[in-house]
Amino acid sequence: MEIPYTVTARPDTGLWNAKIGIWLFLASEVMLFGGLFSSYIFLRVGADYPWPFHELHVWPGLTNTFVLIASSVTVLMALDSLKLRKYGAYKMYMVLTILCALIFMGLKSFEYYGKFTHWGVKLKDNSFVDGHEPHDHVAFGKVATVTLNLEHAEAEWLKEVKGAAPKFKDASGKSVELTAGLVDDLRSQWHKDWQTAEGAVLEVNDKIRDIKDSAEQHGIDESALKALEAKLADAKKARDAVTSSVKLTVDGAPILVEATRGHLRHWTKKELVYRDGTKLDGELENDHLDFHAVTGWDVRAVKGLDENINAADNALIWKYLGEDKRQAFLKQKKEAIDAWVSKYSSKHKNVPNVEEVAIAAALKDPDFLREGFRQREDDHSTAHFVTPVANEDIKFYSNYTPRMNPYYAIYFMMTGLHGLHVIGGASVLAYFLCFGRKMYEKDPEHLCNRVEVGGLFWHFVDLVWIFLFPVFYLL
Amino acid sequence: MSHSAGEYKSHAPIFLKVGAALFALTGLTVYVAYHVDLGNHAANMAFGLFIAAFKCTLVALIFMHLKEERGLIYKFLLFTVVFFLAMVFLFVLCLKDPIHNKFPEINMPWSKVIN
Repeated sequence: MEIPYTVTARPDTGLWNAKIGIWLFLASEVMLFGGLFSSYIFLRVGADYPWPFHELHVWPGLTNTFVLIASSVTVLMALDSLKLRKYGAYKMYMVLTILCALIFMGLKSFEYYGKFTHWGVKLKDNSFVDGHEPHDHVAFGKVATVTLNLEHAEAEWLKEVKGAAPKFKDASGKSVELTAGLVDDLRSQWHKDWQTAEGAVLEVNDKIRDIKDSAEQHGIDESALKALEAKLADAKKARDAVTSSVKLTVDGAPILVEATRGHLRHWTKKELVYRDGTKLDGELENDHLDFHAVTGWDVRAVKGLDENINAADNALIWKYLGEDKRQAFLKQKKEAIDAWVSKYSSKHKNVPNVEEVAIAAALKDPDFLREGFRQREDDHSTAHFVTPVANEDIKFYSNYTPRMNPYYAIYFMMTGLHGLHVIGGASVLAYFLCFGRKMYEKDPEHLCNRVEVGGLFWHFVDLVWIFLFPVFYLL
Repeated sequence: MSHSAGEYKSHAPIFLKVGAALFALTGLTVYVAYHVDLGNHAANMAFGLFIAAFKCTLVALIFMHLKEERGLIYKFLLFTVVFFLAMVFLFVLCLKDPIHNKFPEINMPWSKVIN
């Protein structure tokens, strides 16, 4: 049976099937992105930290905007060529459209990669430092004993031991080589011992139950019962003595580990416990984050800055970035204040104490704060140095992923979803390009309709980007 | 919008013109966002969003042929626009002070524009 209105429009609505379908679909897509734009507004209005605007590099976003607009034009030209029955031109424009989609996704991945390899550390007073390659470890030395917890023990932590492979002695004084194989052997021995001990307990238990069960017929043999109960207590004691912890003593010089913070369950000045339960006794030597190539700083969120313009003068980051950077900041701040005050006083001529009023207003202005209280050093060659940041000063650190702050969460959510739409749209258009010939020969208008529908979706993808670009990159 | 090959006239010039306009408007948005201070940040935001909305209108009317469509699609889109705007302005509700049953005077981007 021929399906009606796949090619020609229905007279009363003026629409053919697929067109009505795509418009309903696009309406639901508007709702989807509308919900996300709504979330963006909620996050921005409710943000309790300086909202990061002008933080993304503009050129990839701008190039992508041009690329998407160009692809919108080429998809229209493809449809136009098809309607003029120029199949060759149609194919060329489709190829260009798909090429644009590939460029878009390529640039997007480039941007994402940049974000994933870029890190930021927020210190306890909310001052913030930017950089790359964080090396996060706890140096723990003078380790003389190691206690394995066989329930979860692995030998992975040995990779973090500095220097030569350590040697150990067990409780009986025998030398042992700690390897994953040895841990497995110890674990199976522990399982076996525990099963034997538990078996002994159950066996005595069974005997006691038998005596009690037969009490009605034969009466209770009190002395036998007492003897068994004593035996049960011994068996239980023996079972409880089977322990999953194995203590090893370091044979030779005490060892030093440089433990990755993420591998640890907890640590104090005297002990360090890995997530597999392995406990090291020794002394905490160093507890900091090595931060490479510091690329920028931001003191806009420092406590008290909303009231006092000098609140960031002694922010924690200056301890790490040094006096030179602090002096540079003070100079930058002064310039920003001077520029603001002179602009403000020229506008508000009759205000008494104009400087005071101007500064109070400045502290509420995001542009002023960006100018004076933030620095991005994008030229890594001038910024390359390593800063060890003490763990006790760190509030939070992360790479630029959704974890960083709600701005990046919604940025990745929306641009990621948009990227999926680009992939989906380009796949549909590629299908029309590769498999359209047969339909074109049979009924070219049918193919026109398909390309028009695919194109409508493609324009919608462009339309979403038209908003995403200013919202995330510019405003 | 069904044509046979003979009667169809190419729309290419108008598509290219609109494309060029979109390019130019994008350039303008970036230029204004970085190099022109319209008084305060809120005004710059309003300008950027206005241009974006204008670009969207161009895409919808010309690229998506809405200009040439008839009633039914406009009826769908009426609902879409209403619900979209409702979602965009939903955040206003979270500003309301439920105890005094009023909206507090919060320093919102547009309050700077108005004052």
